[in-house]
Amino acid sequence: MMKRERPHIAVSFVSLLVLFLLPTSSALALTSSTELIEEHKAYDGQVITFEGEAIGDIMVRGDNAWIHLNDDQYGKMRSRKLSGYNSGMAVWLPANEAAKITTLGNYDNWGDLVRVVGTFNAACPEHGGDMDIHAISLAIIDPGEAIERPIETERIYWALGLGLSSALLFFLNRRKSRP
Amino acid sequence: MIQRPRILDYKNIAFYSGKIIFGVGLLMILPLVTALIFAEWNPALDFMIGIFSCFTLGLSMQLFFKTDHDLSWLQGMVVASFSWLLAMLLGAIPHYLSGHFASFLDACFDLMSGYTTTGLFLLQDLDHISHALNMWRHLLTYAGGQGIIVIALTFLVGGSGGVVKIYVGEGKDEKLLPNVIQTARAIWLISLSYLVAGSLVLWVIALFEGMPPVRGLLHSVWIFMGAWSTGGFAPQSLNTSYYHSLFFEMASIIIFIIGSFNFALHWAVWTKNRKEIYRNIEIISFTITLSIALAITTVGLIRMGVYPEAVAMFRKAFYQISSAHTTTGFMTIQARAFVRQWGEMGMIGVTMAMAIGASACSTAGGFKGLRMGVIFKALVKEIRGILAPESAVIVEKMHHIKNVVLDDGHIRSAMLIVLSYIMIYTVTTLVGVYYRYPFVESLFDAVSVGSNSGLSCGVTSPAMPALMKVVYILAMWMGRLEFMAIFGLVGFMYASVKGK
Repeated sequence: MMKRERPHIAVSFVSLLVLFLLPTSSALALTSSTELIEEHKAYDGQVITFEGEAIGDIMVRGDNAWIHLNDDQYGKMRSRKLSGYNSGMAVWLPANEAAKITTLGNYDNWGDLVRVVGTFNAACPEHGGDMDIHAISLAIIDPGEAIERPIETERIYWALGLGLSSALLFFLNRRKSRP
Repeated sequence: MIQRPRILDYKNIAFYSGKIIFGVGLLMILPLVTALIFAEWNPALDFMIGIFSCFTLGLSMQLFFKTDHDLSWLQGMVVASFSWLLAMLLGAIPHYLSGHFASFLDACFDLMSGYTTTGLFLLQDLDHISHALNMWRHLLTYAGGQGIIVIALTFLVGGSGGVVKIYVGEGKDEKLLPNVIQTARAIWLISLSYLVAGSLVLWVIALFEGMPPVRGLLHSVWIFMGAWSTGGFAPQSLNTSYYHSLFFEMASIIIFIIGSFNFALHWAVWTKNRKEIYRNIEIISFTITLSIALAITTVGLIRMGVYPEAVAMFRKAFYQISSAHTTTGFMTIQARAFVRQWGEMGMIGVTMAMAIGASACSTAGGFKGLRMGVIFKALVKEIRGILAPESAVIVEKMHHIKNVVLDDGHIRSAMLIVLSYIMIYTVTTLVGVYYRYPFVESLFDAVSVGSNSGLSCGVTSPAMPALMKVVYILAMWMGRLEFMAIFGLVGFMYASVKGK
């Protein structure tokens, strides 16, 4: 049992060290989801740092939880300008670490921008071959915020105009159908 | 001599197409209600604009082209193919207004993908879209799977004899009951019953796996719609790998396999003829070709050495292959992982499964198991003919709901459709290769669009050339309607110009 736990302790120690040093050091560069997918062999089993917007749900499973981090332009730049598909990674981490996330990305919100340090698995043996990151710790870099979506008044006029024409046509159709 | 269509032909086509467009507007009411429940005001306005656009056009067509004449076969075919194009253009309005599409063409791509239960998409930033838009995306596949014409037949068109011609034009030729309206309603009875039961099962699993109740319910309904219709849309960008759940995967596999069965088979089981499951030629054909595709892919994966152990490898391979073979398009791996992890042999296994597809008269695409069965039986018949004495009469039978003696008509019809699919796959692949995508990747996505599968290895993206998007839209449309209705429309247009 002890032998199994040693690598986890080592990874944990390295992760905490990296988290502590990251703001002032570039010793361990950030890795993107594109790099992880395209160069999965090089990164498989390596301790990496990954940043992204927490989106969707926190799915707690016992003492651990699944979260999803998108490192695309939307979440990281809080940009509604179209810049392609979402891209990101699934992260498995202790539930108490996941609980630090207060805002998840969805239609209403930009999720918290978080940084995790953990081991990348190209095909995780523990999770049915999923590509994932087993993180030890999580830090909030930028808290999430509500996405402003002001009501577009021009659309109200369009909806009203088309609604009136529909009602008129419905009435005319009914009249024409009468024997 | 080609005869130019008469005014009555145009009137009939416009009148019935108008009814179908009105039906598309009615469908949008559900996403509108969703928007109102979740206080998504801009999407609510988008759907109001979409609904009233459909009503305005649909009712105008019914008012100005009112007719009491029955449809001819050609008119029925033209209504089926033409109304799908109109439904695409109008259904794309809320999509485009959402601000998640780079162009109206991209929005049309997603609409056609939804209606045809393909599942490929060009929508950007999926993880920030409204519940209403997600509801519309999934409802599209659910309605498209049963057939938007079936919906219109069920609710809007009376029992005229001509409607059977539109029904057949939509790629469905099984009559579960003597009357086509009753058949359309039977299809809905089956689909809605499974919707309730399947969504409930998925919801329980979602709650068990840690999803909050409301989002869990929405996701369950959407995933059911995507699975049952073999559509493949999912509410999150990670598709079904988002749930990290073996139970969720197993439930979705069961739903999309059942969803890919022929509606006639469903009806047989529904009416207590359970033995049909074991005897039906499509089920036998599906089981054999699924096993072959799985074997090819597994050999490829073993060679690549991607997965650390056999169980994980089987889980990934079986999910992707069964999703491909039922032309669903759900994925539990990243799109680029097909290229980077699975390698060419694994991709060829998946491509083969997509090309064959599932059952005729179902929500699935591809060659279809029935035709594979017919072609295989024809081959057996030929070989038996060579081996038998010259005077012998060779009779080959197959079982599909009832015992059928295979004749030249069955074989010719099956070969013609399979050949048409091969042509679509070829042309679409060539367009990809022309734009310098690698051959295997181009083939993979081309077969995916032509068979309405929806798996992608990364070729399909908002950045791909506009011409390629148009070709993909046409391939999805032709693959779903199984050509005859398209040939009818093209012939009708030609006759309109060149006829006398």
